[in-house]
Amino acid sequence: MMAHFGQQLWMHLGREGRLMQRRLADSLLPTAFWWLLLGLQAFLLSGWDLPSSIAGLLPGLLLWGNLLLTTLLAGDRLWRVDSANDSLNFWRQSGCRLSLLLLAKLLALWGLLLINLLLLSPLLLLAFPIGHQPLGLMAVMGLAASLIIGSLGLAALCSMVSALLLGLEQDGAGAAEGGGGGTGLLGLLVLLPLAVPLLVGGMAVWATLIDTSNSPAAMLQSLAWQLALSVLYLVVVPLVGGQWLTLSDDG
Amino acid sequence: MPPQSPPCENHPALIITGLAAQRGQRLLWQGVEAHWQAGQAVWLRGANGVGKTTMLEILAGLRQPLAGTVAWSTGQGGFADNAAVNPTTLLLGHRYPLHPHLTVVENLRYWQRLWHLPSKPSEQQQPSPPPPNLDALLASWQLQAAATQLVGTLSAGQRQRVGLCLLSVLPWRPVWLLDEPATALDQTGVGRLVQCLQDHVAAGGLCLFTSHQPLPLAATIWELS
Repeated sequence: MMAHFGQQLWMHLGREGRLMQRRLADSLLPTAFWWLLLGLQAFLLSGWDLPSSIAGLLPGLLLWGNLLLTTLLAGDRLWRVDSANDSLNFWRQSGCRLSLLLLAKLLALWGLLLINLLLLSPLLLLAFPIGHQPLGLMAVMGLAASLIIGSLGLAALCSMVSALLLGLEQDGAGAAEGGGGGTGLLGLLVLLPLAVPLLVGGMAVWATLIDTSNSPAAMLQSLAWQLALSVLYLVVVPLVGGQWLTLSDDG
Repeated sequence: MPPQSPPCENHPALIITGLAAQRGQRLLWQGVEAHWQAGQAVWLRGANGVGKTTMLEILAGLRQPLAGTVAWSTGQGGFADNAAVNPTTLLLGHRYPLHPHLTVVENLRYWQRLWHLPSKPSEQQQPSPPPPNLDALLASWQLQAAATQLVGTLSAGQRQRVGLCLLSVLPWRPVWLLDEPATALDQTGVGRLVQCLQDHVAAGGLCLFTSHQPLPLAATIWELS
């Protein structure tokens, strides 16, 4: 059974990987956006004399906020072409599991984030110490681990929201609710309550990194919390999102 | 290249009973009854917006009707209905599932491999003829020069031809539901399409298509109003 599902997943992943490679410029757009955002924030905040407590937490807050926005931007493109043509119906007719398709898209999105953001983000923070001294090597590694784990959860959530919005748009509910605003708002209402615990976990890791009095155990505890949430989302999202996709075309 | 032959015992039929559908708040039609046999070509006609595409989607099980049922032959003398997706149909809508950033061959191979996988882990692979040689298939649609081109760079007529190649690369299904298959095709393309439909019908399949232009094909007219 695992081999059967693995074969399906591998096929979808191959397709997504090839598309990512073909649309390299599109794939790098979220990165450009993220770099621009963080660079601008670093520039603006460098001139401010902030209290030390805020100055310490602010870079982490910006980092996670930006990552959420970037994931949303990248996630918005997940189904754009496939919904414009008849691919979704064709997947349904083929009898393949839409949850596996969603999982492949989720992993592709995560891969995109990892490649583009995570490898660059610690360097960016070193280059732009936002009102704070540059992070040490251990802290950078801890931050990278936190981002790798957290971005998986965020990619899962954004994939789920994009599947939900796709379903609503295909049903015409968006138009009925006054254009894309209604569906977009619904997407945010679904996303935020689920994303906030993940972001809080990321901030908790950040707080342990900047406070040198904390032991590594405190950081590991926060990482474990993030990991648990991300794995939960990774398991649940394809199942729920796949079901939404199945229902979305039923009218 | 003729389409893949079906197993001999597969003789499809669609039985449509009291079918009704709506789009948004608008009732499209109701009380539709029909019974289509194997080896038939059916031309579904109707004005724009009458609900031809909706009808095809309902027959394929991709959309739920407002009322009524669609039953299909199970191939063993029985009938089934109300499954999530009708396993006997292949619906090709007017927007083909071809990604513009993949080449012609990449698109066809992806769908070919995916559709040939059994839909359930416990299910045995259906004994079916070997998949067609893609080069020969593309040549028969005059697409050999476009094989390695991205679909997004093709003309509308070429894209239509690539989409119709799916009929031959996918596993055989008794009922073909084709939405405007002749759109953007030149005379040669229409001829190739008609040959493809005739082969399917001759092999015991049922072909139900919509078209705003008459095709040189003996087909029963089904007027939807």
